[in-house]
Amino acid sequence: MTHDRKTNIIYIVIIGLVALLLQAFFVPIIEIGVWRPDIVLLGVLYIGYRYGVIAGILSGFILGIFQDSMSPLPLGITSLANSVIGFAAGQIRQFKLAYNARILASVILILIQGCIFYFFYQLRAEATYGYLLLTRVFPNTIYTFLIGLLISFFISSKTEKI
Amino acid sequence: MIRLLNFIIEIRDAFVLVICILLSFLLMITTDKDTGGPFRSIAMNSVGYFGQVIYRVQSYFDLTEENKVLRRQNTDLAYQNMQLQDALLENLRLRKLLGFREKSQLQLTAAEVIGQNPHDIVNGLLLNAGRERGIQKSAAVLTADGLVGKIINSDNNFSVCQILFDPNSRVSAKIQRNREFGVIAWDGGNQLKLLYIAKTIKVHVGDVIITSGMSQIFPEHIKIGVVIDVSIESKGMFQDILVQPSVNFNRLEEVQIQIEGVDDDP
Repeated sequence: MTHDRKTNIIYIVIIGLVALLLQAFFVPIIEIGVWRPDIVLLGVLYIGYRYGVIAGILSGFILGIFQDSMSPLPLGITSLANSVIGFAAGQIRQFKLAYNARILASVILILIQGCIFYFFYQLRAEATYGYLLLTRVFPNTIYTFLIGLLISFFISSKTEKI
Repeated sequence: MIRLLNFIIEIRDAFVLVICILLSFLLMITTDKDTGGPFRSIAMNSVGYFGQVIYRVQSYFDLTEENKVLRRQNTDLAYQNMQLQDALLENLRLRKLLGFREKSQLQLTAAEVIGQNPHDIVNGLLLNAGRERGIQKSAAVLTADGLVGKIINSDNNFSVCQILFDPNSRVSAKIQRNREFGVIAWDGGNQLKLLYIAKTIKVHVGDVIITSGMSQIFPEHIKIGVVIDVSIESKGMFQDILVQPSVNFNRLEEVQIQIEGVDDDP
């Protein structure tokens, strides 16, 4: 294993840990009713954009397992959705999109992740998929995107913008 | 086989994704709340550990403010505690007084002691009850413990009570055991004197002194005090008898005043 790869793995682990901790301790402070940003998803997107497809998929899967473990949901729902998004983010990296296009792609990916997650979620919940789309997926997408922009703004001076 | 491996390497991104999706489906199908126990346990322990660390750090920074709040609460609670203790003691005193009033045949009204020695020439108490409550001059003042004195002045809302520790105070009294009559006066210190008891009369330490009923001011059978010293060594016909008053004049807070059947003492 090369030195760069080792360094990348360490960075990925740190990003994942920070995202999980923020999700566990910071998000409950800023949640509005049932709407809450998904900072772990933002972490997966960042890892996908920056470190490629495999890193995106694996980080999405592992972080998703952690997220599911902390919730009463069955294991695998978040990991599945996050793996897909990690894969997509890694693929988008290869296109070397402009910053604005990457922002648009991020919004779409956050929306897709919500759609996948709540599709499996509604199989176990009493609410209908349409209701969940309207009340959870769209608001959460907007909230997550805004938080992502904020984080991007703060770290843009030091690293590449997502 | 090598071709297969090469193919997998070529499509490794999609291959990893498919593996992850399959694993996710597998987990979704096979795990429920119970079978996901180890995962959940690890996740919860990790989060719990970090949560504890964050809580400790946060607590450390909150200590100053928390200390301030706790000190303030401590002061408030100490003050409340003092008030409650005071209220408890007041309650006990009032219960005692109430019991005394119910047992007594006298018409009494309660008053609080709001000052000491309001007159330079009288050792007395200032009471917060006056003529509006039926208090007249020369009314007897007493507590559940015994006789306090008499009213020497009253206006609409306040009265002055001359206590037994006044040089001019004289109370007709008798020894409860043998019914011998005498007069109670102040000895100039913290005791009373029982005057005019002949040396031929046997008086014992511990004898109870009560009002005689011979006076028009003080009703009969009110306790005044207890004999603490008897001496017949002095010249003259009478004994020197020291009496410990039953009322503690330094701690008086409420008294009862007789409001009926009082006539001015000539």
